[in-house]
Amino acid sequence: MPGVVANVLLFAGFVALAVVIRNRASPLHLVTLAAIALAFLLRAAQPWLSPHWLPATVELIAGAMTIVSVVALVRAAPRRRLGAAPADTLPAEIVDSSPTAQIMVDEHGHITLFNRMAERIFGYERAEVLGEPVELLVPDEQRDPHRVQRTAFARRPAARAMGANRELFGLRKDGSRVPVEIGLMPVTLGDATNVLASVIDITTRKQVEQSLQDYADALTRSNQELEYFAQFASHDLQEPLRKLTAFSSLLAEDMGDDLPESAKRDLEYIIDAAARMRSLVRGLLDLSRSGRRDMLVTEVDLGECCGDALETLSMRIEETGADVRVGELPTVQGDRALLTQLFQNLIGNALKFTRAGERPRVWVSCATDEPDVAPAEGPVLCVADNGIGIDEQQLDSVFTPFRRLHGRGEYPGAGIGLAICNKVVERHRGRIWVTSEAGRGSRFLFTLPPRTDGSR
Amino acid sequence: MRQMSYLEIGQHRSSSPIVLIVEDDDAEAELARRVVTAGEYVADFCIAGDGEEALRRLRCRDAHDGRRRPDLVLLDLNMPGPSGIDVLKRIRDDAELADVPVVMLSTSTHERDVLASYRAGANSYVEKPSTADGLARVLQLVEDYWFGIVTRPQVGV
Repeated sequence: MPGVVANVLLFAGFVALAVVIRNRASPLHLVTLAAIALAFLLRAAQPWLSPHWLPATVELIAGAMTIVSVVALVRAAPRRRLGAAPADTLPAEIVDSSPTAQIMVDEHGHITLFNRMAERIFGYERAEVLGEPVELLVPDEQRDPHRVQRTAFARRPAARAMGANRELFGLRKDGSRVPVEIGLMPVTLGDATNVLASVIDITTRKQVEQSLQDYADALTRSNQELEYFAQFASHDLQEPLRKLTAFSSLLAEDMGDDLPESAKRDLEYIIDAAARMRSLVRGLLDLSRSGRRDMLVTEVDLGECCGDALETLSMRIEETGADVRVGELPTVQGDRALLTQLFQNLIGNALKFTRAGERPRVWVSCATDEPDVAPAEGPVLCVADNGIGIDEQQLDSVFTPFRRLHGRGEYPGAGIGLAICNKVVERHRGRIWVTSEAGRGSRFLFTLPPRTDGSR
Repeated sequence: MRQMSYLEIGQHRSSSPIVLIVEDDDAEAELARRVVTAGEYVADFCIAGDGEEALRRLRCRDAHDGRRRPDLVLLDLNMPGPSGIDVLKRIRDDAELADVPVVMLSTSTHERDVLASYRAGANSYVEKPSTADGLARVLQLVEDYWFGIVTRPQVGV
């Protein structure tokens, strides 16, 4: 008897539940509840059922109906969660004060919700737009397509962004347009599917994008101009310079010894100036090339690099009788040509700015325990010499292009070598510096940090 | 300012190899003339002032009828009208002239120019020296290489 009562109570309970939620629940829910109720009814009626009906059969039927109902319920549940949220469960205040504009549109396309941010973005008071067609907020030429899209959306509602590949604009009360981003969500109110649109004003973002684009364009233009200049310098600038050089010497020859001393001197100044200008133009070209060329990043054995540089300098090394020692050098990621140029310039300088009467010595090594260098900066390379050194006051400016610290008569060169070294190290994201003492020699140090992204 | 579209430097000997310099710039041509005249070379030199004249000389046509075909061409890269590359291509396209050795001369060593020249079929590319001595040295080396070391193809006249 107690079992019967329990089952009858449960039967009644589920029926009551079904009745209570009949307005809010879908037909599927109601059928499921009815099925569960029926299961309990069967179990209650078990004692009165014909003995032909085995109790086990009744249990089986009841159990099966319960399981089927629960499964159906569970399968129906996700659809509930996916966003068809009953509008009257959303606290109105949250919606109204949301930093995103919230606009709800009913199945006829009329605005039924318009929060404070929407008022701010579109410039309308709530009362002005409620009940109006949502196309009021859409730019004229987009109105027809918008209507069509709304119908399409109603047929297959799903929470998604609007206009994925398009630039979207809203139409303000004053007729101006505002760039926006819109997210759409279907909302169920009773039987009808409404649409809740979340709208964000992206004016600022667009402005930032535009200025970035402008900057990128300006950079590209600037690079193109540099490329053009380099080409120009290569051909047209050097050509008249060559003639200046060649014919001033020929002129001197033509005149022979009949030339008065002053004229000979004048001619020499001309020849020198022309040669200097050629050297400057070449230096400029080299500098721009070292900055311009795309880097080809590979595994580079710095020992090999240094070896190549020394081969190029072999004649100078022989002439000066220099003693060049190279220690163990690591393998790094970088552009082989640029790094070879780097060594060539540093060692070349060491061979140039030598002390009279002293055998020039150059040491190339990988420095360990260098103060002021964090381990994360990678290996520290050092090119040291016993040359004339650099005055403390001029240490800062050695890497400046065309900066020469000595008179032109003393040491040749356009003052570009170290500027190029600086550029090469910069492009490898390292840093270069020098310690020196006038009359005692210099140490040039540079880092080549490991590349984290393997890109250039 | 074009003075002469074709010039033979000095007396041409009957059995010496002939070098044709193609150069449109007067000053450059004058420089070459000075250097060749001042030096002693195994080869005989002549200068054509533009591409058309150069091709006529190479084909031994018109005014050059009866002359021997040049054995080597020193071709200036920067010329107006048909450029150095254009002239080179026309030489290479001509069945009669296709195997005449051509050395490009240029003030520029821009990668693009070098690559374009080799790709168009130049045998080599030399940067023009900026002094008379430099030019003399280059001409000497070119002569030593092309007429002393290299075996040139037999080009029928």
